[in-house]
Amino acid sequence: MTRKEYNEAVELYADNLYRFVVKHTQNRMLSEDVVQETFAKVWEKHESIDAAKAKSYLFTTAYHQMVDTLKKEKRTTSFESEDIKQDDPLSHLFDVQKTLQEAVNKLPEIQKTVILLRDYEGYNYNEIAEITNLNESQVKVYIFRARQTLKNYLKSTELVA
Amino acid sequence: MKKLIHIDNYESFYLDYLEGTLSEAERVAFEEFLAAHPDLQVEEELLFLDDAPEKMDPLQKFLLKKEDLSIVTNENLDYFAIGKVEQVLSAKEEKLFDNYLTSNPEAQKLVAAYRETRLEASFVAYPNKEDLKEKEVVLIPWKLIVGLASAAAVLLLFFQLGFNNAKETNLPTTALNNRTGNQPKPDSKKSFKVVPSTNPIEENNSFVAQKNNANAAPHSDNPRNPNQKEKNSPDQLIPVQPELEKNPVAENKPHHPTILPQVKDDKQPVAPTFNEDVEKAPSKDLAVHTGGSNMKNPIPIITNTLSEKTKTPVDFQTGKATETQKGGFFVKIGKFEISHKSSKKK
Repeated sequence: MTRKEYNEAVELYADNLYRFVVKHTQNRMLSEDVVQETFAKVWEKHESIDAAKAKSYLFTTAYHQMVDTLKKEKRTTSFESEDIKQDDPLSHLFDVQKTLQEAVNKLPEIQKTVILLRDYEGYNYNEIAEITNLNESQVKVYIFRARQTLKNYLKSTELVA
Repeated sequence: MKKLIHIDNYESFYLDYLEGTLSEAERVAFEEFLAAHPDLQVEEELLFLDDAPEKMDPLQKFLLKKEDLSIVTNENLDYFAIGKVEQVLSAKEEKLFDNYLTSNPEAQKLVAAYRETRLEASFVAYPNKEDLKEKEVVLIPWKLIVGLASAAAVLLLFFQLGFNNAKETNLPTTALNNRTGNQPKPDSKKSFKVVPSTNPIEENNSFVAQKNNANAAPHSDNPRNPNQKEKNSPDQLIPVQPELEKNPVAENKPHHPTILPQVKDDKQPVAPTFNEDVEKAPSKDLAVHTGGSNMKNPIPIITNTLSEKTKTPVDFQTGKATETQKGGFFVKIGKFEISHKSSKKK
């Protein structure tokens, strides 16, 4: 990946990467750090990275960076996600999406990850498996479980039939 | 027996009591012990595992299967509904479920409920995207910078001098012809040849002072009067070199040798001039603008400094245009050479 391609990747994927992390951690500052660290790592190895696989590489790196950071944060401090509802861009959305976002935040970490990658980034099961170091069957199981949990949560709030 | 059961060993009796392996006397003794120590009693439901069978979530069970399902039931309905939303059903399963949906409105509602679980992608902007980008850094070798700066300095100097030369005093053509009358005319077709002066630079500089004095004098004192020219001997036609002592600056300043490969004698190499043009030097040249007779020719200093800094031969030569010869300049820095020929003076 050349410098130009790297800068194009920043332009194309930085927002998506940030959304993926911030939806996961619910902490903007932490998410910015993760994104910054991710791109720094990618730049370190940019010469050996195929530009066509830049997005996948970025999300894989970001996912592992996020997991490491969350572990570290929880170990050293009593990590709490900040309340980002006040200025959350989702605040204008319909009740279903807001409630759904709450439900996603209650999912186990791995289920949250696969659902975010699936719905926000449109990755297929195989790509999600590569990013998360799972196999395709595991991804399928986590997504199906997550869908079931989300549906039950929405049903409990009587937002869906 | 009662004495045998105490606070340090009651656990083993407790386990045997729960297992029913104590003798009657031991059982009575242990029950008396528990009655005396009610805080040691443990809830029985905590002691025994619930052996009631756990039913696995049917969805998980169907997900584990590696073959297509051939029938839609209430048990595998979630599997089909999520699979349809996720678009991961096989063609056979898809067809089977579509047929099922047409006759089951409840199943349609279930599919709609699962569709609601899809997150809508909202735009979230990363605040410092520009900071992530890698800026282009162009490393220019310092030698190249020094070389370019040197060339620019020399060219700038030349254009300053060239500009002033263009404004030099127009002498009468006849006078010029008389001055050079007995001398063979140089072939105008020959290329311009720069003759390095063997005189110290200070002598040339002293000319500047003399020239300024000449410019300041009235025209009647002009030594280049055509009438006087006829009386001059051929020797007198040789340009009069200004006297060294007229330039106090030249006396005090050391020479700065310039690396001039073509200079073969042991005299001080200096910026070349046309000796024959000394007398008709421009009246409005650099000396006029920069303060007159004390001006020192900076070219040897610059070329010397450049050659020391770059450790390459540096040469700079100029020649003024005459009626018969072209003027021009020549700059050489190492292997880099620039030359320019100006038109003949009209």
